[in-house]
Amino acid sequence: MNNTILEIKNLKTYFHTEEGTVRAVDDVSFSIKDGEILGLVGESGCGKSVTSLSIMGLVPVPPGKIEGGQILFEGKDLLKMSEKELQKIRGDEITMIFQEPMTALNPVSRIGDQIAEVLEFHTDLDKKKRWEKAVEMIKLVGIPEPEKRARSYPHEMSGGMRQRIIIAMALIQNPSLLIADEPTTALDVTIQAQILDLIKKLNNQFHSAVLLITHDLSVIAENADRVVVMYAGKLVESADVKTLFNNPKHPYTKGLLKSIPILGKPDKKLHIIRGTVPNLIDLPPGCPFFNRCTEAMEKCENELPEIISLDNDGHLVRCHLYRQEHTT
Amino acid sequence: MIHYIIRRTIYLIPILLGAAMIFFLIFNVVGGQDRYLYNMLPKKVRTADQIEVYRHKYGLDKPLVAQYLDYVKQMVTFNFGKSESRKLPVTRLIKRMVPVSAALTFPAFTMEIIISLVLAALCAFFRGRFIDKLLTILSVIGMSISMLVLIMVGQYFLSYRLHLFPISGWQRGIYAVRYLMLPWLLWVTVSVGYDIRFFRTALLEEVHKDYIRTARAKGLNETTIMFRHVLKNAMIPILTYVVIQIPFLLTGSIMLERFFSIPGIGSLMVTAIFNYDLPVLKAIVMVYTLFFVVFSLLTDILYAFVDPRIRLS
Repeated sequence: MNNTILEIKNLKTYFHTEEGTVRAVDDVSFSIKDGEILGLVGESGCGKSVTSLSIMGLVPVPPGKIEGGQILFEGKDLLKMSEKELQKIRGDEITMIFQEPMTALNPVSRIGDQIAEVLEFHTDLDKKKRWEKAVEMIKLVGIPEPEKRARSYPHEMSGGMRQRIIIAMALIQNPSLLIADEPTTALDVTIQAQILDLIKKLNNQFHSAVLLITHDLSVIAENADRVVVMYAGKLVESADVKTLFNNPKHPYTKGLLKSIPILGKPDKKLHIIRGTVPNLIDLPPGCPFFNRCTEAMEKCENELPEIISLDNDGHLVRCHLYRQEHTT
Repeated sequence: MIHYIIRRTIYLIPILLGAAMIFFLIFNVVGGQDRYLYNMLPKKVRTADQIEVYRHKYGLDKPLVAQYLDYVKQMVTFNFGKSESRKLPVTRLIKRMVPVSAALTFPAFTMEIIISLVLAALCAFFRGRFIDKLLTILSVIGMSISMLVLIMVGQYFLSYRLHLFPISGWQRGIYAVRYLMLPWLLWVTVSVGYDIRFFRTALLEEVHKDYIRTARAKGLNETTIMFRHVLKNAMIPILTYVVIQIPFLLTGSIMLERFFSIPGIGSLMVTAIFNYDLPVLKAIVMVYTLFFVVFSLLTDILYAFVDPRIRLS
């Protein structure tokens, strides 16, 4: 259970646009252990999705480019692999669920064919066997009448069903790592819970590690084992889920947790983090959170804080506030 | 499906009646009937008496409603009488001309579509790279040159100077190919530019869709993605583009037929206009409308086959 399956080291994914270079992911490191669910949180545009696309090798090039770092999957660097080698891993050992189930399936192909297609590229099974396994998988993700459903087209299904199909597609080869990029954002609240339960159930059943990307902290609290918080392309805090929720260190994480509305206390004014995310094109030299931080100090403006380890359990934070404690 | 086809076929009736009405109105209300009849007559016999004879011959002395009903009757029986300038039944003329036009346009169109689909797929596959840019530039150049220029350059250099093809002319049967080669070549040259641009856009439209990212995430290679996913979805706009042009193929390419003396329906129409050949024009208007409506129905039916989201009812 405790083997590291994926290790990202100093990943830098930049987008070279006409207005300038967008440092979508800037010097991010974290790792995922076998079978665990790692939550990756942050607001829109903080680099969550680009991180996942970098792992999959699906960053659109150009304008995107991975400028540095390593992504070690079972010890091998994905960034050094050829497209052919990556194709073998994608859909087989590392798979992905997307945010938009409504558009993530090919509208003119049958559901069963789309699932079976994964097997066509990753196994030697014949056509009949592939279809049978696809039907079995549709049943496994909790869709009634799997034989009939395999023959239907995506437009004949609801968003929640389509997301289940994508999950079936992602898990059919029993991957070591499943990346779920905002898997429930586009769905109704009731369906959200079902989909998350399904992911969690299958995580137990298949022992796939899950990288759960979301901006919804309640999703993280209920599902993740460990959490990585990103802000403006940088990792700002990382800890196991209990530590993070009980003892947040970074002012941004604190602000995020305070911003969650509490049921039953309607008279309390909701906390907000003032200001907006800085433009990633010309990021100031200091801490990217400086202009919104309530605890900002003088040096925060010009000096980017290092990542500091707070304890031996991997609680990391990128903030000047804790440098003293660390060095002494 | 069957109900849909039947219903659409019934819709043909008002459309054809409407087309007949428009033609009828233009001829009777807008155009000067006397001047038309005058021009229709052979030069030697353009007298007032003869005009009256012709007016009676074509039933133009009847009340307007009766005239319109005459036209409708001709439409239904597909008997438009004799051509004034060629002295042959119009139906026979059209039956003879349509295959000639089709021999010019169908092979040319098929080549055009195949060549441009292949090149557009290349562009989409290597988008943004050298070959894509080169083909885009060539397409724009091709689109910018007028057919007239190409005809003249082709006839002068390839036929007159290099003797590769006859300059113009026609023979029946298999020998026709000799005369058709240069027109085919020019047709393809003129049209591939537009097609490549259109097909490339249709393909690229799909390349950036979410389901293509899903396909990549499944570990599919680019060739499979291109053919199985992109092309299958891009077929929907491509098919419309192709099928909607087919009625125009049956009616021929007016310009090529004129310049290469190919006796197709395009030539027939142009000479009929010049000769004030009323029966021929009436017939061509009907043929044109009929082809157009039938093929748009065909396009709609084909849609249902390529796109499962469309159910005809």
